[in-house]
Amino acid sequence: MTSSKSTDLPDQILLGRAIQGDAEAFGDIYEQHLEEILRYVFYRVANRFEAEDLTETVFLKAWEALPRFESSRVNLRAWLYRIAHNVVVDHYRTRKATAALSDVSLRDDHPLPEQRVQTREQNQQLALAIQSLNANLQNVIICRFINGLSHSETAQIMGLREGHVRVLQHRALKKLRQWLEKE
Amino acid sequence: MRDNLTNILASCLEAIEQGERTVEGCLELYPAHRETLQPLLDTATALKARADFAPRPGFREASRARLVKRLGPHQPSPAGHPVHRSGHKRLPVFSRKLAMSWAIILALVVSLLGAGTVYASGSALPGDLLYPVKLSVEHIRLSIADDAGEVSLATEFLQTRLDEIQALIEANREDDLHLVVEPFSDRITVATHSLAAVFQENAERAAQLAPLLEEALSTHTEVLTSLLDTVPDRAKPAIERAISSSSRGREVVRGLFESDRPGGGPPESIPGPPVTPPGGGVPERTPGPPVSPPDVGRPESTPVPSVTPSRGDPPVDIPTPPVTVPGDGPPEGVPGPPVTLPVTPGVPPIPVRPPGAPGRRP
Repeated sequence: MTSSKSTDLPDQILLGRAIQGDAEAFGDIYEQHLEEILRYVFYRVANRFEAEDLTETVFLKAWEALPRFESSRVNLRAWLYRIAHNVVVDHYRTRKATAALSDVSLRDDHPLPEQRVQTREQNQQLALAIQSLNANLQNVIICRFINGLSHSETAQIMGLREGHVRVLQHRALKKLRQWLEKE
Repeated sequence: MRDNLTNILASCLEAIEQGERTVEGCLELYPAHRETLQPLLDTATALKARADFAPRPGFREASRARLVKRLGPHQPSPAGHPVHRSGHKRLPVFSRKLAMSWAIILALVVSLLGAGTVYASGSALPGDLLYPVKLSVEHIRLSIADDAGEVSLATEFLQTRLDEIQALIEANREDDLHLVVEPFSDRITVATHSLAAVFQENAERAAQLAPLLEEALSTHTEVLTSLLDTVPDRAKPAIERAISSSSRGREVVRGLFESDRPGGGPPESIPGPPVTPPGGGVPERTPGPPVSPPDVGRPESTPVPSVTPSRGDPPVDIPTPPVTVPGDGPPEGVPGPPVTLPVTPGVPPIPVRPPGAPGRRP
């Protein structure tokens, strides 16, 4: 593995190297996409630690599937989101016993400043609200409003037409509004 | 095009995201929708403001090092097992001859109708002169495909039907909606029958295809249910029938694998085409196992590592978050465990084609 750290290189160059088996180049891809994929997974599972583990799984699966990836036919980012969706699905299918969501905060036993505690609780509540939606609506909300993707990017990730994403977006916001009003 | 609330909301959100308008600016632009639009725009704004999740300090570097360490060499395709672009088995010689003959028929159809006509039919909507041509071309494409290909194609055509439903609504042509319900249901039937045929020959392949079809149907149900909120009353029965067809399709897909559980044995038949229930009401949501995204539009040569097939999985214990949406019944939330759904009563069973048996749908 000869490549130097090059997180500022565009996806295509890093991708080419990674497909050739360059693990460091894939590490750079990981750093470029880590934050949004981690955020996506977190708001799907509502648990930071599970989200971290699952995000690593996403990139491991991506690495395994990389030789079959054709960048001319699909966007790397959309591909990673789809893998992330599948990993979340697998997670819910296979896990046997998990700590109750309300116990999650107990695992993070480092004392935090008040503001960070508040932010963490706020994120947790938001993740729970998002979890009250079904998977399609969750995807729309996270892609559009948490990760700031456009309608067309969200449509590509979900394998839908833009028009359908607009319809789902409308419904998801209505449902979340109800939740927020209740809160 | 109808300026409905869904489109107004989407264009307002885009304008706000691009800094072209404020929430108030949008509300002034659509005073008639102010009351309904404002809470939605406020919710979107609140979501963006509240979402503040970031990796823990040090996680990025530590996890990168951990990941890179775990990466092994890429696995080449096993020798002697060439990977076909579609991942499908190669067609047997007989089927290839059959496919060739269908290809000739397709060429004849194109030459008779003219390539321009066939091309133009692609954008035809139900009620248009060229719509039957569009359906015929789809039918021929389905006939050329093998069973697994039929599942994928039918899933793709289902999305086309969904587009047509939305286009008709946006064009204020709700009276034509009933014309799309039958082809919509037909494509579901094709997809489920073909999946059953794949199941008979190669259960593992069917287990790969089933989640894709099931999620597509689930998404379609969601889109149709969302449309139901925005259409005039006269459009609702057609959409409700489409929702009903979609839900039944999901039941069929699930039933196929539920019957393969220990003690179940392979299914002898699958339910027939969806029928409209008395009253045509919207069926209750049946929370099901989450599945992988539809592969409609996904390049076949770039597979997404998919979910573990659910065939034979024991029911999983998926905790439901203690959150309910007011007025919405139980939370949709994290989908529940797989549900064993009974074969639809009152629907005549359609025998599954035995492996290798010739003949396709009428």
